[in-house]
Amino acid sequence: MADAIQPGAVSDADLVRRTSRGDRDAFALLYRRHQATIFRFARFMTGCDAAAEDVVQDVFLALMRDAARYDARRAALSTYLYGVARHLTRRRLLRERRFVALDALDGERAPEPPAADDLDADVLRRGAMRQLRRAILALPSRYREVVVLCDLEEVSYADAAATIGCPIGTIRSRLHRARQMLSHTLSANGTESRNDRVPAAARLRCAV
Amino acid sequence: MKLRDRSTRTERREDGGDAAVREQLRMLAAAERDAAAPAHVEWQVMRAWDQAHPPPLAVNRSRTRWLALPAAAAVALACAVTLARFAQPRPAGDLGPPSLPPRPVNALAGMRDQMPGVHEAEPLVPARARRARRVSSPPPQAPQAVNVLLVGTPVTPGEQMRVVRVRIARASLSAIGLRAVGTGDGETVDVDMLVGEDGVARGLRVGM
Repeated sequence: MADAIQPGAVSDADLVRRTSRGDRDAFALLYRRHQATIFRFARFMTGCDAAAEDVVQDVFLALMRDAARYDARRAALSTYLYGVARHLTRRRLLRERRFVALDALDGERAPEPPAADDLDADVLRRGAMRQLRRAILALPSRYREVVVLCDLEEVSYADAAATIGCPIGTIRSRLHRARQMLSHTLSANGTESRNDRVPAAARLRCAV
Repeated sequence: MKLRDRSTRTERREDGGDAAVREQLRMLAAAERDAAAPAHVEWQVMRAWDQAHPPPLAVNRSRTRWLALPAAAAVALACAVTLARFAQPRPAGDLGPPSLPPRPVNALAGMRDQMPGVHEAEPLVPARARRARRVSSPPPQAPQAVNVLLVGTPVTPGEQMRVVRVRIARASLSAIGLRAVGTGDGETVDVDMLVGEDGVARGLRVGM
C-alpha cells in the first residue's frame, strides 16, 4: 500500500499526508514521534497520569479522523497537536470541575535508589520537585500552559502563541506573571513546610 | 539609548527574580524528559486505527475467490435453466443457435440408412409436448426439431454403430452451443449418442 518509511527521513507533513491516505505505518510513526511531548503536556496540565493517557489517545484519534485538516504551511505538527491537546485538556478540566488529587503526582516514576552519600541531596531534590509540581498545578490554566509549553517543553514563544492563539507579547507577559506566582508559591510553601504545615494551595486547588 | 537601558534593567530584574524558578523548572523538565505514554495507549490507538481502517482487498481476496466459484456455478445453472424454460419449439428448418454451422436436420437418419446395425432410439419428444400429447387426443407427432452434432471421424461404410441414450447436464449442452428441451428433470436432458465400434462418439441428437 505504501512505500517503506525511513523514520528519520520523512517529515511530519509527509507522514500526515500518508496518514490521511490510510497509511498505518505513517500514523504509527507519527504517534511514536509525538506521544511523549503530548503526554508530558497533558500530565503537567491535569496532574494525573490517567487523564494524560486519555488526552494522548484522544489527540491521536483526532489526528486519525481529521488528518486532512492539518495545514503544514500554517504551523508545525507539534504546534497543531499541542493545540488539540490544550483544547481537550481544558474541556476535560471544565467538564469535570473537580479538585485534582495531588497525591497522584507524588507517586513519581520509580526513582533509582540514590547512593548513600547523595541521599540527603536526593531527598531534597525530590521534595523540591514535588513542591514545584504542586505550585505549577496551583497556577490558573492560562498561566500554567505557558509555563509548561515554554519552560518545561521548551517550545518557542512563537509556537506557543500559535498553540494558544494569542500574540507573542501575551505569552511573554503570562510567562513572567506565572514565574512570579511560582516564586511566591514556592517561597510560601517553604515557609509553611518549615513550620510543618500543609500548604494551603496544595490542600485545595481548583483545576481550572 | 535610554529605552535600551531601561529594557536591560528590566530584563536584569526579571532574570534576578525568576532565576531560581527557572532553574527549578529546568530541573523538573530534565527529570520528566523520559516520561512517555504507556504502551497500552499506543495499543489502544492502533486498535482504533485498525477498526476505522479495515484491511483492504488483499485479505479478503482469497475468501472472495472461494466464494466466486459456487457463485459462478449458481449463475450458470440459473442461466441454463432459464434458457431451457423459455426455449420455444422451433420449426423444422431451424437448426439451433446461429453460431452452429448449418447441418441437415435428419443427418442421423441419413447415416442410419448407410449404416447397417445402427438402431436409433425413439425420437426425443419434449416433456411438455408429451404431457400435451397425453392430455389431448391427437396422434403422437415427431419432434419438431432435432439438433445433430457430428463429432470425431466420419462413419465408414459397414462400421457397426450403436445409439446410446444418455442423460447429461443441460449446462453441458449450453457449453457447446446447443439449447435443448429434452426429457429429464430440470437440470439434465436425454440425448441420443451415436457411438462407433471404437467406443468414440460420432454424433449427438438432441431433441428440441
